[in-house]
Amino acid sequence: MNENKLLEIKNLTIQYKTDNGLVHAVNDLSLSLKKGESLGLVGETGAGKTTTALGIMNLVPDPPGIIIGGEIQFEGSDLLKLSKQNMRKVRGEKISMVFQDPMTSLNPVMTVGKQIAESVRIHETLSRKEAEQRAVDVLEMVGIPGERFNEYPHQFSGGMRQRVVIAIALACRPDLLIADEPTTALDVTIQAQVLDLIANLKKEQQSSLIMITHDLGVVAEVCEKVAIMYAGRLIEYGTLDDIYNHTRHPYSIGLFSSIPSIDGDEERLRPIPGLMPDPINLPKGCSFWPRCNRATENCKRAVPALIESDPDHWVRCIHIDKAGFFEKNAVSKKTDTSRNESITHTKDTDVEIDSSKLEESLASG
Amino acid sequence: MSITNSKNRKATKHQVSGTGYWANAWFRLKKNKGAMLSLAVIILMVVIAILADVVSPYPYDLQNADHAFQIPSTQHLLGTDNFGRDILSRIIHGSRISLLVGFSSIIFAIILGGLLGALSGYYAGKVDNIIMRSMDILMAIPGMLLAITLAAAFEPGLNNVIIAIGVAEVPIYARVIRSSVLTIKGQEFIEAAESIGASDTRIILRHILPNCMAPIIVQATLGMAGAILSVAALSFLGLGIQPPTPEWGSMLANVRQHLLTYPHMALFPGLAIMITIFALNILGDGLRDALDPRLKN
Amino acid sequence: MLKYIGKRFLLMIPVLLGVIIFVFTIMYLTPGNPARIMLGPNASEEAVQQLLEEKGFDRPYFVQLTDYIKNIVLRGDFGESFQTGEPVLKEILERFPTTLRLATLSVTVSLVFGLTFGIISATRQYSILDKVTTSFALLGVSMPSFWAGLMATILFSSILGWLPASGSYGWKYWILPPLVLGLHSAASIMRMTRSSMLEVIRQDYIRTARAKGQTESKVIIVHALRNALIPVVTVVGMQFGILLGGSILIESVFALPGLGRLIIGSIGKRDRMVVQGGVLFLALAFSLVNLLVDILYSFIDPRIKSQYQVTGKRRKEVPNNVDNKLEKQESN
Repeated sequence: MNENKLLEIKNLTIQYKTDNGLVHAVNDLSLSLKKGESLGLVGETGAGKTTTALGIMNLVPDPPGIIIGGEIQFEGSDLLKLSKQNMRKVRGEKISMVFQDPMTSLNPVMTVGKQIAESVRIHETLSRKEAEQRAVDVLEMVGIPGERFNEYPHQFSGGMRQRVVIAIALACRPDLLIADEPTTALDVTIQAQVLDLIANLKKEQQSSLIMITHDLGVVAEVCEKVAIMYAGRLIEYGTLDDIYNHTRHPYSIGLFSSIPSIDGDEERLRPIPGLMPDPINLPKGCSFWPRCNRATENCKRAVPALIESDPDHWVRCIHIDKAGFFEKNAVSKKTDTSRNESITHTKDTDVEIDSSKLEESLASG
Repeated sequence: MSITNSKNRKATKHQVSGTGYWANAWFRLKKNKGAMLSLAVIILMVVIAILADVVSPYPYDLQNADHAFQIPSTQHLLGTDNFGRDILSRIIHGSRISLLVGFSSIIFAIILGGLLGALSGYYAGKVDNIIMRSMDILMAIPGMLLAITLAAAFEPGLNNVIIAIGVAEVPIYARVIRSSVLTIKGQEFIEAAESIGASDTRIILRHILPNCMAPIIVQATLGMAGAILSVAALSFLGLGIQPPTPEWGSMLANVRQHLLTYPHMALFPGLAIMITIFALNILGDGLRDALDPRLKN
Repeated sequence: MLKYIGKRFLLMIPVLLGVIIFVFTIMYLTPGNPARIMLGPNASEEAVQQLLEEKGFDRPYFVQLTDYIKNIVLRGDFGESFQTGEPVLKEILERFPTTLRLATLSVTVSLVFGLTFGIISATRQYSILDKVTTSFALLGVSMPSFWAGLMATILFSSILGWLPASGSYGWKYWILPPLVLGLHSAASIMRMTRSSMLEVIRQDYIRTARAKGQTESKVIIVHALRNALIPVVTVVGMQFGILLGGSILIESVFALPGLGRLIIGSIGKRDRMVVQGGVLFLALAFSLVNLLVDILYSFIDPRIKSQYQVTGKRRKEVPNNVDNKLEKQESN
């Protein structure tokens, strides 16, 4: 079981020191990932997803970011304790990252070919010729003609640039690929292509994947496991089926019910009221209580522990018991069933949950 | 999404024209210790310049051959020059010229440059072309050289020095204001003003210029530093303020032949220039950060 | 690429023509009768009048102007000095090597110091080294170069006795002037390099480079520096103008026989033709340097080059900010 684990994050806490106060970006986060598995890390903007990813890469901008504590076990060593030199060997070769905005994540004054070849030459002893050949191969692997090797990023469209970024990330066949909202900045029509590309390459190279997104549709398409984050904490974790069909946490439920379903019952959308708390002043207790319709006095006392409601399905809510049901709540039942229908439907037809609508509802809170 | 966006835009718009914007900027500036200290230094210098006759220990032109070339002492805090004049008194009186020229030449440049820039940005087309090409011509001559040329062409004197230095600065303000006008012109509240029939002059004066204030203030503070440097340089070359009027640059020009024997005569006027410019530069940087953290010029 | 250089070159011509007209007009307005200046105060009124007619200084402004332009464009003739009767161009060319040497050495000094300390300072933001260098840079920007020259003379010639105070009789005379002038510019270049570098270091592509596992020094040299240089190059072009202006002062301080001293001396002698020729010559040098800077710019930033490349390849969007950069760079 343990040998199977590729990545294990334990109690990771990351903060940013700003003029306005201490930003609690990631709080006591624990996660694990098996070899070949793909995990969807879901949450609103500011939930701490990207910081978590940067934490794994040891690239949290410092200053202002500080990794306060925790462990990140990867292939038998704690990444946080590695020397800079050894960490560099992990980056790009063992763990790679695809960033959100392809328009800014490529060096504008360097040809794309060179940027890919660079990645190869850092980690493998190859001649320049060999590295360039590899770069051409990788370019073609992501669907870009090899003769565009000598072109500059501004000569590519957004979708093509994201392919280049993916090519850079995959050039050394990493064991783990972290994709940070890889499709958010792209046109809807291009989004699906890029997702397919990531999913296929991941399969081909047998790497694991952490897909960071706020788009539940993306998760449904490529992930087996889902982790939902809220205000820097993991609040629900389980298989795709657990999360989509047996949603437990009130916030997760809220997320799903703010997505319009295509078979549109007369039911209206129910966006989550309020906004995510200011990460400088997190509310005491469960971070979600100010917006939660099930909040009680007990919620404000202490941060709830993660509870295993079903086997390997973890929820951070004091109202959930081991059986996975709310102690006393009739209303939620109804929500559950209606939503389940819509999700089942979604999965069958592969028609995705309309992500733009979701974003909108997330943005407007 | 769209709702939040337009809300934001409204918010910034109000910020720029409302008093809240300036209050915020002042608050940010107050937190910058260096800038506040510089502001205090500059205010102090202005006060000293105004009260020069009162605060200086000796008249600036009092010659005393017996006391020539004295090094600093309790009697003459900064020593005396080749005519036995008190250097401190001359520096104090010299600050009048430096501050006056610095201030007036920048005002001159702002008014002329601002006018040209505003016309250029607002009317675009031919007007823009003619004005901006003329500015290109002025900019093709290095600033100091342009000031020297202008100063050489006219009789030396305060007014001509102000104009010579001011003209060399005009293109900078024309460009700053033109680009501000172009940015602001595209925004909705200008269209709104046009749609209710406001005249061009009214739009420029009431809406566009107040919105250009931030970059102008920053540029003017840094420009004043440059102008004070320029007047000192011109006087040093003998093209600016003529003796016996005390001016920091011409005080330095006088000491050349005594430089190696009486270095104190060169030290203090230069320090006065440096402190003034240093303070203005720090204040300018501070103002830039306070008025618009994104503004970089 | 050639098209780009050609276009920039063509744009330069009307500007230079404008500069000639402007400078000529300003100097034309200068009080003083050229013939009287040539002949001295003791010459008779008739002799003055005769020379005035002979040299054509009595003709209308417009005729003199077109003549002046024609002579410059067709024959490189900038007129004759009122004082010596020598061709102005000859006098300029005698003095120009000194100014050129001072300018080149100073630019080298300013680039070496400005870039080095700018990069070091940016990569160690908030460190003591950063604070010390930025404070020195601010002091350097605030120091009048001619005063710095005087102070350096006091220190190195008078107190320490290491270097000669003024003149140009060997390499020892060429240490202080470029250092003083160059360090003054270095301060500006250092400030620009630092802020540009700080901005670039925060860019996403730097994170991408780090995510590849690249070493920090290579991230800085290979990825950050070239991007950070784009605005710095503009400042260097601008600094060259300031440097040319400063060279006039520094030549005065160190008694170097350069073009600046020629101009200042001729102003004193009311030798209009030499002043005008010298100013035009420096403006031409400045424009040529700016042209070079533009070309260099397009080598550093491929986005500019591709705007002017006519190839059959598909080119998607060129980011808007390239236009802004062009605009910004033209402004200097």
